[in-house]
Amino acid sequence: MKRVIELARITVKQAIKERSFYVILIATLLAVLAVPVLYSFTMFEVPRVLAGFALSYTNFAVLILMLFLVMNLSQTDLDRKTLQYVISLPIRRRDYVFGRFLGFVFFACILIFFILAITVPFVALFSRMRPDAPFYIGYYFLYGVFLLIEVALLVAIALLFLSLTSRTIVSMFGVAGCYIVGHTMDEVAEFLRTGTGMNMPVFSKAVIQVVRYIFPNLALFDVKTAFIYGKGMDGMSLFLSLLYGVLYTVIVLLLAVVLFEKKEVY
Amino acid sequence: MSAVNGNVVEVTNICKTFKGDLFQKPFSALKDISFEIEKGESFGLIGVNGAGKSTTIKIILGVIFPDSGEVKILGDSPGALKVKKKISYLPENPVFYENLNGEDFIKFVGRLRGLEGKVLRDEVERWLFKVNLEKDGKKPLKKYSRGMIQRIGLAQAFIGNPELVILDEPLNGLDPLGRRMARDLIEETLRLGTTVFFTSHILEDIERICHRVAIIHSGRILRFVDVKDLKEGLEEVFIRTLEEYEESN
Repeated sequence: MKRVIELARITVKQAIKERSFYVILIATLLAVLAVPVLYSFTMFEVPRVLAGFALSYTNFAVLILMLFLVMNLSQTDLDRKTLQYVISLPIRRRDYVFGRFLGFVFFACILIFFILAITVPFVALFSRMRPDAPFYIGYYFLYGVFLLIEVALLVAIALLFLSLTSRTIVSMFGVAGCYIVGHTMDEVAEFLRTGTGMNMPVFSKAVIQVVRYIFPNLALFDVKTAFIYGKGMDGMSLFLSLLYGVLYTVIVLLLAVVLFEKKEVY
Repeated sequence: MSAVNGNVVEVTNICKTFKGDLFQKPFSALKDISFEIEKGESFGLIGVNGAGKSTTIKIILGVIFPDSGEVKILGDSPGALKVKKKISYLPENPVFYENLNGEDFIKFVGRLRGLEGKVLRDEVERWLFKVNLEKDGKKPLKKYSRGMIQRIGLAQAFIGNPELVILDEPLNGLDPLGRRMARDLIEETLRLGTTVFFTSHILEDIERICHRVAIIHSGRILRFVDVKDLKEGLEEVFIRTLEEYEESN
């Protein structure tokens, strides 16, 4: 565990020193300045517009930065042969996978906390001026947890690709593909239930079903719309979504470890 | 010492072929390589580019795996944690974590080698001083020159007193003073009983530092040379060995 923590610590240190981290922090401060502007343009539904803006921005900033960091740091290890050196150090190969994972997830925690800590007080302040909808801080906390689960799952997928291939481009498209499929498959499943979908060839429908069960359903973690518009999300479905995310992440991570143990690092 | 027969490294009949990409032919990098390195010995592996030196090192480190044959390091399989705790490695043209500064990087390696607290701090300070980087410890590695990277690479290789030090072209990128410093460090570590496995293109350095040398070419070891028995320069022996091999093939 000591070695895993050491690798996690080095991952966080590397991530904090990446220039893109500071770009995102500056962009967040600029985004906060946009809150009063949005407020002045908005006639109705002010809290919802502001909350939607804050959560969508957080989602975008965290996912973009995390994907960039994970791909950049992990693949640089491969491309520049740093990985050969690192796995020759007194660590087990699995320590590298777990250490990197924990480091990235911990960094994502810090990032989500910072971005929400900067944006949410502004949203709260402006929402109180127009009390036509209540402001619940708990929603933002839950939103942060779900975003973290999605990031953790994507980090595990990126590490799986690192174990599978030595080509950065394959990993990048792989992770991006998982993200897109993961967020759209619910809509595709919905389409299959329509008249046009029902008339599709059986083979195509079977392929879609297989893809649906293999790829993670990332739409489950996108709770911001439900929170903003107060759509029904009961505690049990939130809990099951969290459980699904955690289990999926653990399985992908274990698969990454098994493959990484056997990987020849050129 | 857990090594069998006093050998720190035992490489027996290893072969390695790289499959290559879709339209590339497989490349046989190592063909039936065998050698041993005794405790406290300084062993050099010399050969032209692509001869198989780095592939041999990567197999010894457990970074890649042989197709056949066996490797034992300190009596165990390469890649085993208890082996890794006793060995260190300086890669050829190393790229370390560039966002870290020199001090943090050496601390990271020291911690992984089991150093903690004051001992760790003292050792980091000592090794930064030994490689003349005591004033640059807080600088990020990405701002280091090639020679500085090589020196920090030597410091990380020696910190924590490993039993086996594997150095792949350790004198690359060093100026004459840096080369002298590196040679002194290697000689000092040999006096402490550490085993050194060394590759270099600079045969003069090999001749000075190594007790025994293997000449590798096209994935085969052509000759072992005891440096103390040399009656001519290592360079002449090396060139003649390659010429004899080319003539016979």
